[in-house]
Amino acid sequence: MEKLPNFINLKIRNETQQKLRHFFQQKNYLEVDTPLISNFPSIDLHIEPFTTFYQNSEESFLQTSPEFAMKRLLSLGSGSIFQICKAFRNGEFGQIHNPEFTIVEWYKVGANHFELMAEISELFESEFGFPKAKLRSYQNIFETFLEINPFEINFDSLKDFTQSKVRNLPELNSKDDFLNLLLTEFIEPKLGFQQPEFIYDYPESQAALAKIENGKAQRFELYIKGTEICNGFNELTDENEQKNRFIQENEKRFKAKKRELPIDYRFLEALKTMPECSGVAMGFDRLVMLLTQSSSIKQVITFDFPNA
Amino acid sequence: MAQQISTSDFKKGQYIEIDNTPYILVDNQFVKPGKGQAFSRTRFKNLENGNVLDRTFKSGEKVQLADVEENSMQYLYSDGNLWHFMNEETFEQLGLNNTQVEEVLPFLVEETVCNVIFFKGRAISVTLPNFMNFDIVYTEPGFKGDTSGNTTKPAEINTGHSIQVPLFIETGEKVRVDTRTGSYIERVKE
Repeated sequence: MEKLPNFINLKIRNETQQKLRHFFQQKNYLEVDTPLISNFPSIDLHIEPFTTFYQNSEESFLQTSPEFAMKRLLSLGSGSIFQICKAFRNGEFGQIHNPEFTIVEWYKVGANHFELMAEISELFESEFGFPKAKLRSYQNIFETFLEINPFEINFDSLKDFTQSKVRNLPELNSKDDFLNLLLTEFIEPKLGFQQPEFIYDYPESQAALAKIENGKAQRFELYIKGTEICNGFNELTDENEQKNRFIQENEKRFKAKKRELPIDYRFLEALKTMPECSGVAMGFDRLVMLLTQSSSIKQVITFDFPNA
Repeated sequence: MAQQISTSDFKKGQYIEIDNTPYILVDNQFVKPGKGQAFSRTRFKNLENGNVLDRTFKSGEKVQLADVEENSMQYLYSDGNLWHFMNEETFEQLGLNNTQVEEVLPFLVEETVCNVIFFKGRAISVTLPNFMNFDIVYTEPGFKGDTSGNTTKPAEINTGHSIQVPLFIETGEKVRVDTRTGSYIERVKE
């Protein structure tokens, strides 16, 4: 006899989707539904796509996020849009990761990232009863919890510092890798317990698809009870800059002995006419975990990867 | 040359060799910050001395599987220096020293079929069946417990070791014990 899914959690999952749709409808977002299989993947050093084949054609990719397709819609005049869909990331499996998972992604036209953060806080307050979110900069959390300035510290000092905090450190080659390790080990577990907390102003090297202003990436993440729930950007609209970042990312992938990925020229083309906007992706399964007080993603999905 | 595995193949209970020492993987957590490098946060137990080792790996890093074998062996007797075991298939006998059997001594009874763990052909430790039955050699009759609501009392079992049992257990009875924790499970009726 198969183990039963947790039907109480699945019911809350269903209600949560309805609440999200209700909120986005009120705010005049259009719900869209973009392809899960695409000819081009997102390009990121640390995200691996699943690949598949349509008969004998070139390989296609299961989306790791709906970002490119949604931005193409924005550039064609969709206005603000949202989507609840599946995304796939190869090799991500653990307590709060399943290789196939559900993303809620939305873009607010004409808004900067602070205006979007305010609206996200409103969403968590009005639909899920959380207190108003607090904002803290990336620099602030490193200063508060570790007494280092992540922007000023140099590579060697950061390496020494990390070695003094983490025994048996693996070999890491970039400042970002050390900062990320410190963040997961010593900061994340303390974030978002009193109220949801936004972290903003990331290092340039972690900008991904965000605008950069005064040496800081206009990117943010939302943490609730020690878990990262959202990742958002004031969206980069400069196609040349975006192209350069893809090329650099592929260069890093090459150095890390990972395959280089093809660049989606249609997406770059779309950036030329994409309106100024901010966008965010939310881990839907993690939101349901929070609302059901589940400790594992398994408890809020029907069948996890090994049982799929 | 032992086989190498990637962190993505980690499973609890696997034997891993680190710095020429055999470990068993007791916990493995996949962690990944935002869009950053993924890590495996692991905990190992040293098979030779039971010490715990915490270690963080980059996801995809490779480690060596330890050349560890387990053999079913019956415990025969102790001559005071060595504890003698017999391989159930080959009838070969093997004497283990105090360090090798130390952990299981409280519950080691003659004729018990144990698991002897070998690293690169050398015996390093012994594990007992998870549940075993023992005779109660002595426990105080009519023991009242104490005012803090304690409902157990000490009892000596046939290995000479003392465990906690419920107040209704009497000398001469048989009980079932979880040998990993040393805790009483139930009374055994014969």
